[in-house]
Amino acid sequence: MQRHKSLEKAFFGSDISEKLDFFGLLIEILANQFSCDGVSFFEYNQQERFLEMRLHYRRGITFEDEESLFVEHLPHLQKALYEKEPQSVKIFGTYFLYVPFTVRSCRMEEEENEDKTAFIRLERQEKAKAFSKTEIKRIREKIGDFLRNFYQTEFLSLNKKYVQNLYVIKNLSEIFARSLRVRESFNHILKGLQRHFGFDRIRLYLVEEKLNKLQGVLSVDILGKVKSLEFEQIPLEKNSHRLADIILERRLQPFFDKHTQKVLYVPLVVQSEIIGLMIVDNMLSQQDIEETEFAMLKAFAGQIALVVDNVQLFEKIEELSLYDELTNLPLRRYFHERFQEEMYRADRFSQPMAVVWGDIDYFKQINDNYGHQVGDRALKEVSRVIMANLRKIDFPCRYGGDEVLIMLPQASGNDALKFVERLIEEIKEIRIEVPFSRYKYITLSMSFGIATFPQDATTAEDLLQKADDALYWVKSRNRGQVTLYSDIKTQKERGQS
Amino acid sequence: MEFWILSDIDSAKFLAIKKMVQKFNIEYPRIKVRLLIKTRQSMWESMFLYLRNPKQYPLADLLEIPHSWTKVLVNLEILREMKSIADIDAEDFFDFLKDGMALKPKGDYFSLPWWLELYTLSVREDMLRLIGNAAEKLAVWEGFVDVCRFLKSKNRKSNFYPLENSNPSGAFSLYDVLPCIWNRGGRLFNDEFTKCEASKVEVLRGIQDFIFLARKGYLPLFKENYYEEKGLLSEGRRAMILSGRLPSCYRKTHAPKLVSFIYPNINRDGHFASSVNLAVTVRARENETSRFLRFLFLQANLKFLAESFNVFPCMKKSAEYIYEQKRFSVYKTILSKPRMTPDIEIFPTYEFLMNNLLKEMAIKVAAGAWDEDDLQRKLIIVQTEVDYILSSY
Repeated sequence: MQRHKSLEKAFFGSDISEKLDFFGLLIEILANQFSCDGVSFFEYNQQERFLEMRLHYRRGITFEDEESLFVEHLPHLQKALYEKEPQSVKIFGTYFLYVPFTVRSCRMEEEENEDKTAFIRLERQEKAKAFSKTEIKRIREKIGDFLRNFYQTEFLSLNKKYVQNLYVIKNLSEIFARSLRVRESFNHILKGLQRHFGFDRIRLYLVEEKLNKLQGVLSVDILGKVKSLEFEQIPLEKNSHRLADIILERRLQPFFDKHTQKVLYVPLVVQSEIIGLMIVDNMLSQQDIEETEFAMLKAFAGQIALVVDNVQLFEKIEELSLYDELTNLPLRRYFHERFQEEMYRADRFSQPMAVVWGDIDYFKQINDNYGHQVGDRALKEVSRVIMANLRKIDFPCRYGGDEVLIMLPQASGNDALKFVERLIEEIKEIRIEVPFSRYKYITLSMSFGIATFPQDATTAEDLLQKADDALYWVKSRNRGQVTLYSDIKTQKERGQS
Repeated sequence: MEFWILSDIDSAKFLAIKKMVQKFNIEYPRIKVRLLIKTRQSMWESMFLYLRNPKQYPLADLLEIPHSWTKVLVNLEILREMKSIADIDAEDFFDFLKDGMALKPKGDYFSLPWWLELYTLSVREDMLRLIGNAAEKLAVWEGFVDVCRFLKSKNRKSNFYPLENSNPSGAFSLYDVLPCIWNRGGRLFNDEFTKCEASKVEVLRGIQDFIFLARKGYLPLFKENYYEEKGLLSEGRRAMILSGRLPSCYRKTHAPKLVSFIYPNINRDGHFASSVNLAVTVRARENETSRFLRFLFLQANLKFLAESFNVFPCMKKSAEYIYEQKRFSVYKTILSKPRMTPDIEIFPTYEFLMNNLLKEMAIKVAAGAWDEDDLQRKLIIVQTEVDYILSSY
């Protein structure tokens, strides 16, 4: 078997690594060896019955080109395909020689090895001579020789690709395993996927069962830029949205969009429940998502789902330890953490701060007379009113039982007073139904004490104490009222003097 | 440095560029310029391969791109600003080309128009004599179709088609059907570019108008490309061509005489024009690229390039001959009211979607399986996809 020196050099050198480069070299060699005006490499599209040009060599240049030939209209091509023999033809003064050959597939991920048909077309102008039988034989041998080398290098190249894929699997698995139990993990995961796959975009949505919606989380584009999708909230109602239908149809396995292989939906499933949806798309580039990419994402889907589930569970636990389940107000421990931070800030920037301590009047009697369920409703309603009146920077807490503490950063005594007076009025409007009672409903009132930084105290403990003192003063005189510590202090001093 | 060029209907452009590179190397022997010729599809894929794996798929220094790719490549952080490299003022170019340069407020830009196509209908002079009263008939689309029918009936040569297919793939693409869409009052987007209008009836009718030419056998599909040789127009096996190029007879005395007309029916909204630009990538070697770019944009080289493959220059100064010579009057008319495809981020994607659809339609026509309803269905799908992309980007 004769080996062409330049082919050898090409295959075992480092410059050429892509299939087209190989065939580019082949057509150049053929053009020079057989004195052709042009040589082209075509791939045969069996489904559409087309020859699609990939490369053309002419006048010392190899270039990609787009000529497509419909086999059904060209009898010489039909014959070449059917007989698998070269066909020579003269058309409009040009000699064409079409040489069909088979390119065997080395891909292991395909179920069956799909051999593909390709063509080399050689052209000569009229003034040259037609392709002789000897030349045709030599051309076929050349192509056969080339293909033997090509398979060898193709196998090496595929091997390299599989090693790369293993590397990707290892890397991504490490990312998933290392993911912390926090929302930042989602960033890491999606960015990790992008780093390795480079899709146009990956988006993450989570199912919020209680609210019956699909909540957007974030998207990462091909440049690795993260964008929040929190504004996207899709109700889980049938036929309302494509993504809602995917969740409701309980499709548990990844699948392509029915119209295109450029969008892939990856349901995130834990114990047969869909907890979220990852959507991968190449809509901008219009590149098909490859089967190997599909397979890898399918393999990763389970791990990603577990990470997401982990994050959500952890958030829930944190919530339970930080928030009161009944009123949704932060609990004492969380309040103290924030309080320390705000005290520091107030001191550092010389800003005022007010602390309000509230207490539902006759709460014990409500529980005793109407039951704990009514007591719980009362607590919930009061919390609702408080939360509705807070600014973003204010921080409430359920201190225990029926006591509520509210921290008001950057608020003076007067600001706090106006705020509480508003609360008192709104709380008076609350009606708690007690159908089994004579009165059908009960009303509520709350008493409040306010202390301010730095006027009343300069430490956290002292401030709380002063607020408590003010509350106690209200409770011992008129309930359903509010007072500032500074006011009772003045009165006390007057009393003492 | 590496220079990626778009493939063309024949090798004339590459040979011209190769000659310019050789000339450049006389002046700068140490700057090696490697040319790679890619189809639009392949060029587009190369951009995303680079984004996915810059080490394995490095980018060229200089790119030849359709003007409508500038915006998206800027947003993908593939292109860099050019003014300091090229040292050319944007004001030197025709105003209508500036949209495709991604101009910044202080005059910087991300691509430079390199050559221009102005779309006309060109007819062999001997065929004109046959037609009689050609100017009037060819001014309207229906008249043009009648002329095709007439010529086909009159010409018994084997493999004769009234119209040459100027599309290198042998099919038809968006640029082929766009003037027909505009003729019907259709457009690709709404005014704000927030919605795609691909499934509107005007677009459908426009595309059908062009496909009709293929269905009736006036336009060949998927035949061997003879542009490298004399071309079938000069052999008399084609009578006319719809193209953005100047007929070769304008520059070559031996070529058959062709007369150019305004594209049938295009009037109120402008005449179809398109530019191909040069852009510098973020990985370009600045000194080398700058020297090469300035060389390419010398007036003499722009003239040489345009003449090599029958296109038009983009700089006002280089195009003065169009206004001065009477035989270019048709092109002067086009330049008075040109209309281009928009340079918005998703346009290249839209173009690829439409080209795939049109190729599918061409295959159906070639296979004798044309289905009008299928075109409508596919346009709806394209519209849905484009609207989806518009909402995301």
